[in-house]
Amino acid sequence: MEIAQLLQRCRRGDQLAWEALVRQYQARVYGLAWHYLRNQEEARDAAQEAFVRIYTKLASFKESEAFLPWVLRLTRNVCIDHLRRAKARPPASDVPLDDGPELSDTRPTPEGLAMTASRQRMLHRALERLSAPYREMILLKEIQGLPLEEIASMLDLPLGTVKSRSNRARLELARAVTRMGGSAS
Amino acid sequence: MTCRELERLIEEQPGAPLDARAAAHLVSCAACRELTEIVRASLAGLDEAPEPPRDMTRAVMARTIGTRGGTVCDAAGERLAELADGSLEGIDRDLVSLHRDGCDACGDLYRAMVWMGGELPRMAEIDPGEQFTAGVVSATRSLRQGRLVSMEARLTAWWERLRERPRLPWEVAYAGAVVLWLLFGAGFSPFRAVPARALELARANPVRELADVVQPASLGRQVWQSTGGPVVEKVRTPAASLAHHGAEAFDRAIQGDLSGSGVRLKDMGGDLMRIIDELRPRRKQSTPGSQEA
Repeated sequence: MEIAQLLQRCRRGDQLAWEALVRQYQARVYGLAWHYLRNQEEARDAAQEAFVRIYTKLASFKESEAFLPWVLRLTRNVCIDHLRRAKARPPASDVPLDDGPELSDTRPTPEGLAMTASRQRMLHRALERLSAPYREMILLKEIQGLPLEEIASMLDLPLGTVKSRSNRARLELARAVTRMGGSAS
Repeated sequence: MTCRELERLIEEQPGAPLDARAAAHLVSCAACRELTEIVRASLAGLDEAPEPPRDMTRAVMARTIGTRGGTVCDAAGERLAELADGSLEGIDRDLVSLHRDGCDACGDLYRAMVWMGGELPRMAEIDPGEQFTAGVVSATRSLRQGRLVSMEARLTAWWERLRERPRLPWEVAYAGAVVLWLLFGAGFSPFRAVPARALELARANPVRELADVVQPASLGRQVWQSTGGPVVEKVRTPAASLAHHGAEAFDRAIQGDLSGSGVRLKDMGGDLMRIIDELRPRRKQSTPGSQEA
């Protein structure tokens, strides 16, 4: 179903359309929240809060914009709020991190699933070694696939800075991966 | 053949056999004989020469440019990402590709980047579990009944429902006809005389007549001062009052205060009558000189 059609129905108060919209975007929203918060329970709370915020702001969404970047921007704001609130709690290094969530993978064979999961775990560990700005850049650009212009607007940074930071972040991640002996297919 | 011609021949075709003219020249020129021997010897040894050491380029770079402004790998590093996703073009792409092919470390980084390009997007979606959708729908259902659905959204929804009615074009046409009749056709219409006057003006060619009595440069201002300006001044106050009462009537109707809205509608009627009175052509008063005018 087309997103414009769904949005139109959601604005009219169609509950089924809203449920379909949530189903369509929940994996992306939860995925982004998990990468920011690194904890399944907190990611779940943040993702729900993000959807509540999306719902209350649906009327202000301009149809000329792309919907996914708008959703991810709201989700990021919710996650940043969560992280700010979490400052009062113990630092993240003292809190045991989740090994990694269950990824939405459609590979049919168990071997393929296992290999993918193993690679993803290695990438997660490599991502952990990056600085926060580089990790966020990888998250927004490489994982969520947002265009550089959108990231520049989201982070309130010049486009050139975002571009060079993105390249440096990929380089750092590649270094981390090669040090861990990865990238072998 | 001259020495220069022979040199050019050797330069262009270093391994080719010499023709009769060149051979004749070699018999008479010791310098060219020596040159030919040197070239032949170097060509013969070419196949037996060993490959240059793999790190020779790096060694040469270290001894020439050193580490001024970082190493070559540093210079290539950031562009490797662009090379990996195919956004690097032209000579930059060729230069970085050459470096990647000759540098083991950068080659490894490049392969890691290509691999990451396939793996990272798979991490975008994570299944939040079965109950997630139900939780979100439940959390937002209470909002739907609250104040968070904006007035704009409600009006938009109302308009969407209205627009989907099949009778809408007929209703719009009917309403339009009533408005036109109220404005131009009824006995009390403020613009009842407008069509006839417009026709008269069109027949009289008013631009030419006005141009005869006024200067072209000030024509527009004079026309406005004698026509639109006084009309606007006359209706300014009642029109503002009409708008104010209209806004209040709408607000009260939205709030459900129908009696208050009715009172404002009655006030609007009064405002309309004042506007009509101002615009209605008054009976001419006999003033001295009016006959001549």
